[in-house]
Amino acid sequence: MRDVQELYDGHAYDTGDFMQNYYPVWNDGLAAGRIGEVAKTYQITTTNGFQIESDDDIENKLRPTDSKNTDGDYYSFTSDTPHDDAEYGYGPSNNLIAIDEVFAKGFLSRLYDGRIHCDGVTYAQTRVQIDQGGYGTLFEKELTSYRYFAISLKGADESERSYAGGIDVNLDVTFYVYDYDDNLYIPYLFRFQNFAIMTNSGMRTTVLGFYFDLIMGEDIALLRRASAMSVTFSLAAEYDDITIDRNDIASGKDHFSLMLYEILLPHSTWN
Amino acid sequence: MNLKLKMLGFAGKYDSLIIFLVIECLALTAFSLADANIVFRYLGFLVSLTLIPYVLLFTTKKELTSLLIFSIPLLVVAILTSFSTFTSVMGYGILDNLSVLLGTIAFFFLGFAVRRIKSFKIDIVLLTIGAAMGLLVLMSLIYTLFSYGPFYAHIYRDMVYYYDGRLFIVSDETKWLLGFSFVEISKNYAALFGTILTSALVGLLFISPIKEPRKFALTAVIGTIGLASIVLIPNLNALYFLIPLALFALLYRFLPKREKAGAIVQYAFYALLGIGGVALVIAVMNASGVDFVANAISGSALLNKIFNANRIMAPINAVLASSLRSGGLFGFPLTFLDGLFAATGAFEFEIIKEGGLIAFLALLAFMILIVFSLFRYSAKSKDSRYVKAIIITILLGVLLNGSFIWETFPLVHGGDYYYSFFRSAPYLLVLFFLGYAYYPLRLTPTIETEHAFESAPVSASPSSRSGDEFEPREEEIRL
Repeated sequence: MRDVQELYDGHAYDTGDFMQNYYPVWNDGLAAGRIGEVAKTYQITTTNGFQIESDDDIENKLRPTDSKNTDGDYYSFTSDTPHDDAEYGYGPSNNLIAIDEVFAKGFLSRLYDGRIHCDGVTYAQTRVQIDQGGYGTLFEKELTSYRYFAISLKGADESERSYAGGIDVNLDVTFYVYDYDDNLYIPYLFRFQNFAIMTNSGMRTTVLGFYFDLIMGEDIALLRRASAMSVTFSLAAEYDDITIDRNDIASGKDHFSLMLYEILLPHSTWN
Repeated sequence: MNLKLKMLGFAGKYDSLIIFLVIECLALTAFSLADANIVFRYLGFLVSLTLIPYVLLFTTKKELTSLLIFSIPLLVVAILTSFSTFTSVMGYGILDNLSVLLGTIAFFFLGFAVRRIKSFKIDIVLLTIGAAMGLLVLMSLIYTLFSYGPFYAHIYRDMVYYYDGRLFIVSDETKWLLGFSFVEISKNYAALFGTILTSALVGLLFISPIKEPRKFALTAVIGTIGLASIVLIPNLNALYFLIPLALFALLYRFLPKREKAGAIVQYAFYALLGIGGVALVIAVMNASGVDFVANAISGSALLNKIFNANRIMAPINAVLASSLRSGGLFGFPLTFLDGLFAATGAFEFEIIKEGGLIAFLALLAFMILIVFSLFRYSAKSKDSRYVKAIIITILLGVLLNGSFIWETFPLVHGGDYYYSFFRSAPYLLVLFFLGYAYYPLRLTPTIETEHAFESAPVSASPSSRSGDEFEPREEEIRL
């Protein structure tokens, strides 16, 4: 009965109450005792990674083969209606569901559908809200080849206050490769260091990313057969008014969370 | 004369082959093989051409004239559901549209004409359609149970899941073999097939399990598959619609004075027709914005509830208004409905969108003629009551399902794929049965007269060479 394994009573994590919308789910497969020591940590900075927030960034920060569609036109950053904007919008042309339909199943499919911004209509139905503990998920297939990684997100807190320069965060994206000898998932950590992301920014989001060959160099083959991923984060600076711990009620600070909109592994293959 | 001899020769030589082709065509349609309805329509058209000699040989001019007059509304429906503003905007293409025109006429003609072949057995056709559709439904049911488990629509009622970043209600859908893969489809769409199959159970009231054990068993298996496909989900809407079917079957089987009952039913039908006609005129005037009608309705709480403020009439009004006030007399694009797809749930009103107001009126006229024809068929035809009961129950089942829970966007994950009732496989089968059960409103068909097949050629089949082969009798088979 595989189609009733992940059902919800109503709109999941879409209650209208900021504090009730956190997605804190870590797949049982990634529970304590089933994860090995971090095998390798890679630092992503604004120098060796990229940050996209406009059409110009698409043109300038991605490699030419990744910034254009098959007609040779640059992708539109803002056009992100799933399916309809395929071959035109950046998100719908590079999303994981378009690469492999296994990503279409489940709550997290909203991270693979190509919508990279808040759509301004369905709000919580397009995003995954996390606190510092993040989430961890298993994939139905194993990663066999990969070119670059990108994640679309923004910061949000309970207040309506404006953060002109964004909020500085450290983002940990971890891929896991299963070790059949020890029956453990071996983590490979990619740490985005000190990236200023848009916060309370309405529909606008920030896309962070990196090219695997640039970051991993000769290690690039290590991620082959990766079959799980997790995302966690921390603040990269001191902020007096916000906390990233959803259980921190006593401090009286506003709760700050990351709103994830899309996980992209363009041109990847899966088996 | 030479031509008649040639036709007799043709009819005698190829009757078995033509019957095989007809059955093959119907089986493929019932199984919806590869969802290639366009192929079935053209196939039906080609096969129907081979039946022309039989019609010319065994139909009088009066009968043909009667048939042609009877078929005029269907012809209008066929033309307008094939070539309309809607079909143009939807971009179906000329070949597809032409296939709808030819297929609509061909399947009705197939049913009418195939009776003219002496060795044709409708029982075989019913069982073949049942077996083919039963296979489709059974495969879909097995995969459904594998995916969701039994009674999932009740157990997981109103619960949701996510697919492709969107939210879906699990209890609204079922698995369905479409083409060569399984898809998630509205459970109401699948219920139409389940209802058609369940109609076979009605036949069990008319045959003996001792005298005809194989036929009884086959009929029971086919019907049970259909019923299981509805009960194991369960689809309560479809289950409710089985109640009138069961009542009809029980009355047809056990009512002692059927002539009197028939008269009562006829009068009830006339009364319904009158009430429905008046209601329709009021609804049309209301939707077209006739002031005194619209004001009278909106000024009365009861009338407003009946003609405006309910979930059945709201989409019907939207469709009628688009047709009458926005230049949609010959159908109109979905965009006329201002974001509302106006899911009327009724093929009778969907045709306003797909073919226009004239097609709608023609369909109503055809349906009224069909009712009279079926009255006469059920009362006068020499077909066995097993056959008549099943055919009428199938038609009644499709009418109920098609009038209340027909969904034009049944594909759950491919929400923008439009399903027209008039381009569907069940519609083709219904047309075949309507053609088969066609009974002239004033005449007795030649094939039902005492010397029906006197000029018939000697059939290739040994059974038809028996001495009493030209005696009209109930078309019974013994399996």
